[in-house]
Amino acid sequence: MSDVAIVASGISKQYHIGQLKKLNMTLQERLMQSATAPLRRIKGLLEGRGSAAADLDQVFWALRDVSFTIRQGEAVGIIGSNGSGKSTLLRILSRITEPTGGTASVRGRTGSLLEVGTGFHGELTGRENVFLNGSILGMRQAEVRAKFDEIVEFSEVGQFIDTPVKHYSSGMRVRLAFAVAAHVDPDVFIVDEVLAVGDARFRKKCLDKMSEVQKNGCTVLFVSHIAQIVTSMCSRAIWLRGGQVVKDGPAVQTVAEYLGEGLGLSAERTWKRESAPGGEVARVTAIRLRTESGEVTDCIDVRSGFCIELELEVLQHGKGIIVLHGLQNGDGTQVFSAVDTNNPTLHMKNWPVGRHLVRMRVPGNLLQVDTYTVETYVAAWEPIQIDQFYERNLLCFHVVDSFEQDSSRGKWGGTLPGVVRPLLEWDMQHIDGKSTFDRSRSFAGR
Amino acid sequence: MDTLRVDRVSVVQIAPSKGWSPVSLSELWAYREVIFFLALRDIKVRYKQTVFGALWAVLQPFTSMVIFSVIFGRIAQMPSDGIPYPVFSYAALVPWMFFANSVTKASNSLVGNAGIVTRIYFPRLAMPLSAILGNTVDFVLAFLMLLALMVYFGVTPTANVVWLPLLLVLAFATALGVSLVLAAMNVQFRDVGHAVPFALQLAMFVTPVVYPASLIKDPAWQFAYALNPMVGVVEGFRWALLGTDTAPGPMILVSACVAAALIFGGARYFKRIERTFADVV
Repeated sequence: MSDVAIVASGISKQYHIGQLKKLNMTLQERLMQSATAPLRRIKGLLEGRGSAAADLDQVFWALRDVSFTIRQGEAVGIIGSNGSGKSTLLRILSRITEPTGGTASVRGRTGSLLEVGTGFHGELTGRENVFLNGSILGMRQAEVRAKFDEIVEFSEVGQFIDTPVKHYSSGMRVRLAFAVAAHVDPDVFIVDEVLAVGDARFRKKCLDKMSEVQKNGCTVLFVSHIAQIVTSMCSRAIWLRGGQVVKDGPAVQTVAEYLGEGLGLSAERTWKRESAPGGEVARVTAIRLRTESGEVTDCIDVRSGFCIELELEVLQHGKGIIVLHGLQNGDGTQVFSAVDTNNPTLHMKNWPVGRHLVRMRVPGNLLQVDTYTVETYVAAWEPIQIDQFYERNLLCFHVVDSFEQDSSRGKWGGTLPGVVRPLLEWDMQHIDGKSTFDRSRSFAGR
Repeated sequence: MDTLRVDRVSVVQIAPSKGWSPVSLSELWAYREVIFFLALRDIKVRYKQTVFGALWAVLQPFTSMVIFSVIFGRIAQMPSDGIPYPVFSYAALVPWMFFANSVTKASNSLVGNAGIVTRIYFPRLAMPLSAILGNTVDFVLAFLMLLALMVYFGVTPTANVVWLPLLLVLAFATALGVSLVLAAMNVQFRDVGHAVPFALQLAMFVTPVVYPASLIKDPAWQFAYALNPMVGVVEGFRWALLGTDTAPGPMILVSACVAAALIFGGARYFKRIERTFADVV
């Protein structure tokens, strides 16, 4: 199979973690232990054992039996929480460290960017660092020279290229470093959490560059905590937990499952009637997220609409009920709060005793790609407002990007920054040679 | 130009290595530019933000020479094979300082560049190698000063000067062999960093830097002495440049063998420990 770029079979990596062999030692034993420690260290050294301290018998498996195959030109995201083995995997695939067990084969030139600015030296100028870093990353001098202008232009460092890097701002340093790495032109591009640095605009530029590289047939292996980047960049994701593959599949599903697990929340919550939370007038018995096709899910395609369904039981007659839902995104920003005020059949009307289903419909192509939590407020009205129910983080769901090109992102590969991501109406008129009448009409007419 | 491009069609196999693995010279050659740029970096960075700049390359051996001349030449009346003592000691200090500085820098090369070692793959041998190469510029500068001193003291070099490059190779090989062991060991045991400057100081006294090797008369001791390859280098330098009667005899073969053994053993040890560098450093 010639189109296979990376094959990993049964990769394991064991680390020793420092822990004394016995904890219940007498003082004398302890003294003996420390006195003989250098000898044991030397013994370990002569045996070529790679442990940093003498008394290491506690082992830790950073990776355990990880296997996958990646085709040429595929973009694969690796996700997982801290310490799940993502970085270890990348380090093994880029030959920085050896696996304890298992084998892997990587076809072609590997460019790995495990940290932006590796090998930058503060005393050297930007120009000198470009050449040094380029050669460390695997470029020939002639290659660097040929791409030099391109690199400088991409980095936007401009006139400071002959200034020692120690005088650069951290942003400039990152830009220059990524610019070098992005021009290595590898067959397999291995990138670890490097885009967490730099401002949003430059990050976008980097992502665009990575998509471009990938479209040119380069295999991209990409680690990020920012799950949205993984879904927009990669068609496939591998989820690691505790050094093992939990799921390996389409990016959207894998990321959604991973995110859902992290928050411990789901797309539906129900309560038994007798223990339902609420006040004297109304109680909440269920809340769920339903797609337009009627499916209860925590993973919404950015293009599709969905509704939040609230099941209420009204206990007293002659009361009006107010329902409010709020949505908060991944960094806690309130995206919107919505009350049922605009529906005259619901708002402040008397609700009959019994169970009710209240639906709030959210259109597709409105929310940004992110993880959201839902808060809900229910109050009784008549004659005064009395709180019945309020809870944050009731539901959690993810709006995920789609690889298709009919969302507001269109054919563009990068992310679209912003709190919301609406699909807006655009039009264009060729106004040369036309009367101004057309121009004034253009929007007023709608 | 495109040696690295050869990788394009090749498939890199990643597997746990077992036992001793050989040094891949072809791979080292493929990465020659990395070695060159790292050495260039060391050279460029070394005297940045200093007042004296590259003059330091000369100042170090020169001041040592002045002090030695006063203490050993004047006060202790050390014999110097009929050569003015300042030239006699300086001619030894030039190769010795090359060796000592190389070992100091190279033994710290992996630890000092941990940021690169843990993030990029390249043959780790490039690190100590480039550290030593970076020292050659200092050596050349100090050597020019030696020529100036010879002119000043009216010492003319002999035709044996043609052997100088071979002696340099021996010095380089010795420095590399020692550095390979120390650099690899230093990753795991930072004791090396503390021990090296001290050990080098002692080593200078078992090398004929401040005294002539001719003081050692006992053949058994002479053999033991030749086990230190720098003895052959230093005495050879004096012989080639100053015309002392210290032509490298059969003992230089012993030195060469020791140097070869150091390189060979050092490289194997280095390779053996190499696989754990990134995890331990």
